[in-house]
Amino acid sequence: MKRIIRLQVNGDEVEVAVEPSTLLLDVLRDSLGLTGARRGCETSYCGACTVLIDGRVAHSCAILAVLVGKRKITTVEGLAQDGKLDPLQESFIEHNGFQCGYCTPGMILAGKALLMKNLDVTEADVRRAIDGNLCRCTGYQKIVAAIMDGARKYAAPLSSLPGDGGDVRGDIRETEDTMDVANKDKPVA
Amino acid sequence: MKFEVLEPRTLDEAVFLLSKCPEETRVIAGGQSLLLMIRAGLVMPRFLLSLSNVKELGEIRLTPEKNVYIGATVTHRKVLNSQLLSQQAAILLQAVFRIGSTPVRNFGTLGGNLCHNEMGSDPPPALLALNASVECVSAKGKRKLPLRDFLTDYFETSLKPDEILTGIEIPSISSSFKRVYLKHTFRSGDLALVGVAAMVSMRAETCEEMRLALGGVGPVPFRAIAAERLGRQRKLDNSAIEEIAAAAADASDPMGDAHASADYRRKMARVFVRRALQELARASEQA
Repeated sequence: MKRIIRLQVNGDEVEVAVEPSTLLLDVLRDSLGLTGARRGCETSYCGACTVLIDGRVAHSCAILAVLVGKRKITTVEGLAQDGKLDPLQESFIEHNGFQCGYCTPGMILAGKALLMKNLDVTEADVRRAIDGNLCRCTGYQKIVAAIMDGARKYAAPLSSLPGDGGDVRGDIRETEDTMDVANKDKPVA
Repeated sequence: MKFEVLEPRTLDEAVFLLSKCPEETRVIAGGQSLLLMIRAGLVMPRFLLSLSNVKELGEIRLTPEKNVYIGATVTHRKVLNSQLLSQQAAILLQAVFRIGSTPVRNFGTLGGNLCHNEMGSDPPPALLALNASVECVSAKGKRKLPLRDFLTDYFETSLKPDEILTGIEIPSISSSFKRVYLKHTFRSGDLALVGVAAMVSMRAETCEEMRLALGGVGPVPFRAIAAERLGRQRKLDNSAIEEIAAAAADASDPMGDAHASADYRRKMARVFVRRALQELARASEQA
């Protein structure tokens, strides 16, 4: 039986009627027309369906819509502000960080999630951050270069950003678990 | 794919709902494995019982006995961010670091991982080496059992249909242990062809205690007890390490699949146990 649920998507609250078994991916694409989340492998491997949930990378093909609750969903459509692309999107264009474009929304969002936490990133950090996203065209070099460049853009004084980019650590920043004692990404050896 | 989703707010409520229709209900935490299995038609539950709102299952804490308790719905991400676990169960962090990909670690849970019991999963060897136990609750009561008795067969556990895995307990451990988790795969996000969790406690040049757990090379991850005995009260030189690695490979009972033959897995068990012990022997020399 269908339920009415409320989702927070790209800053808007939307109401949709879904079956309990409906995947978040299907709601975004079929009910909301947000086709930036791509249908790929549908087995949580390829990352074409990547979205952010509370700033964390998620495969929307492996998330039930009814269980998202009040958490904030960001799709690639939510990155541009007032018709201006996000600086990271600009970086992907400048570095030719895509060819066919199918993986691109996921790659950009995975990069965005990383850069919202940390702008002082190494290439290894970037490669780790996109470990849930497959690209079959670029060989990853240009994607990594684009995200590294995005880090530089975000770190630059805001006035030098195209269109004054706004606060990159804005409202889709990852919300920290209150339980976390420390915010540390790598375990010690 | 048709099911209803139940969302209890407390453990009592969850256990009660599960007792109503245990055979047709599946418990879901992060859903990173279960949803894929449902979509593949491997399980067809009528009800999914979500633990997302049961806050008490999402904590990492120290017990009065100074053991570490990890609630069943603690995500891999949270394990990696836990200061307490990095101090008391560093080998678990090493293993969890190697799980799947970032999205899976963000939403997948340690409890869900154990209940799924997939061959080649990373956390079980580390938890076996740590002598972890698990706690299960049903409407009839609570029981605690060693993890090795929980993991019974390929994709199978001793969890009863009316039970919920509520947490994992890791006994406090001497800080003298050196530890390492090594994983062999062709692609980094895959399950382990071989996963080796090794811990040694050395006094001078002698190994006082050795713990070796292997995953991916048998229907269930296991402790290589005979191999561990060979290491006790012994200097970890090359010949000792060779002997122990051979014994660990002998104890394995791998299945061949599309990724690697049984033979290859057994050979790699030997190679990766050897590498793990060499690494620990080196680390002990430097200490």
